[in-house]
Amino acid sequence: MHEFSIAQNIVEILTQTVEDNRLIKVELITVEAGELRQIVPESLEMAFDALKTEEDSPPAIRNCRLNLIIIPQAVSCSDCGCNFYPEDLCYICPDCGSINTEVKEGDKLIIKSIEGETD
Amino acid sequence: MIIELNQNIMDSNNSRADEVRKVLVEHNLVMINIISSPGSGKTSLLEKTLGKLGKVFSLGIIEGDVNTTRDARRLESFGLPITAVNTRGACHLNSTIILKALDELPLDNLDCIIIENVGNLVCPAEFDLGEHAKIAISSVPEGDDKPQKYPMLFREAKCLVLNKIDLLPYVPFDRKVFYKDIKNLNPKLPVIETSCTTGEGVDAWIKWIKEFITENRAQS
Ligand SMILES: Nc1nc2c(ncn2[C@@H]2O[C@H](COP(=O)(O)OP(=O)(O)O)[C@@H](O)[C@H]2O)c(=O)[nH]1
Ligand SMILES: [Mg+2]
Ligand SMILES: [Zn+2]
Repeated sequence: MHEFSIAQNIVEILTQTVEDNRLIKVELITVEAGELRQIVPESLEMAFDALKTEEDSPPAIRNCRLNLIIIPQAVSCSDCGCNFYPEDLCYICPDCGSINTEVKEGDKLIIKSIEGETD
Repeated sequence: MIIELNQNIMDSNNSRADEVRKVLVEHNLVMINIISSPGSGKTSLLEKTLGKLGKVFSLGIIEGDVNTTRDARRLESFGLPITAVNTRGACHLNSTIILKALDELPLDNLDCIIIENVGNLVCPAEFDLGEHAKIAISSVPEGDDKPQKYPMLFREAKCLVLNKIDLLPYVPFDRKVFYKDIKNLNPKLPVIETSCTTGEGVDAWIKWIKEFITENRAQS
């Protein structure tokens, strides 16, 4: 289950941020997951909730909620410049038929922001 | 207060993958990462490959296994340096594990390192190990729908091996569907059909990997 290792990384980064910014309480963490990463939201949430309440996790993150936003894919054609959504997982340009296309969005895993309180 | 982080969740893995790449460049090494479901034929393909490829290049192996070292033992007879890494239950290798494994191989004497990843189509596709290429193996009895179900791996792979083609007469597998999905997903992906049982197609695979190693060593 890749959601578990992703949640581990999230908690690691969250813990570091809490230390760096001397946060006493974190309410919300916003994560953007590209559609291509095939994250199952319930699984990620479950793993996150389990990890944030572990003994060696900082108390400040215990009640942190996870706001997961799934980012749809956006592909751009290097030949004709058009942007498109890869319908039925087809990455060939629907306008000019080119195979030189690049996924611009929807393939990343990013922590956008953290909402918390300092003392 | 709101802290805008915009941090890639894979940052720590990716920066260690950069360290792996540094080591590879220093030693003029090519690293190949083989990924498939459990049982698709990763170890079998290595058994077919190492003898012939080992005559041209000096090879080292990193064997990823969830809980045993059985696959490493299957490959021992080739007399190549092998390091078995046990992920203790984790479903993928990461760049920290690879960095440590490299320490145990005689890097100065090697041309290429082949990694057998843990059997899984999801997580291994997400982890940058610092490799030159991810190779995907799909096998006929798994069905023709794997590319549609696990797009990330088939997008990331530099070569796809379709193994167990000897079973085509016995199991439902629509080659047309499989090839159409691959063409849509990753139009530039070369596909090589093999059977580790009959040996069919194995030479075409060895030719591909030989050329890949040669090209990538020349570059560095
Ligand atoms: N019929 C057939 N069986 C194969 C082929 N390649 C591998 N196998 C069998 O599939 C099983 C799993 O192979 P293995 O190499 O251990 O898969 P791995 O888990 O990906 O390393 C073994 O019983 C192999 O003998 C093939 O091309 N045809
Ligand atoms: Mg194996
Ligand atoms: Zn186009």
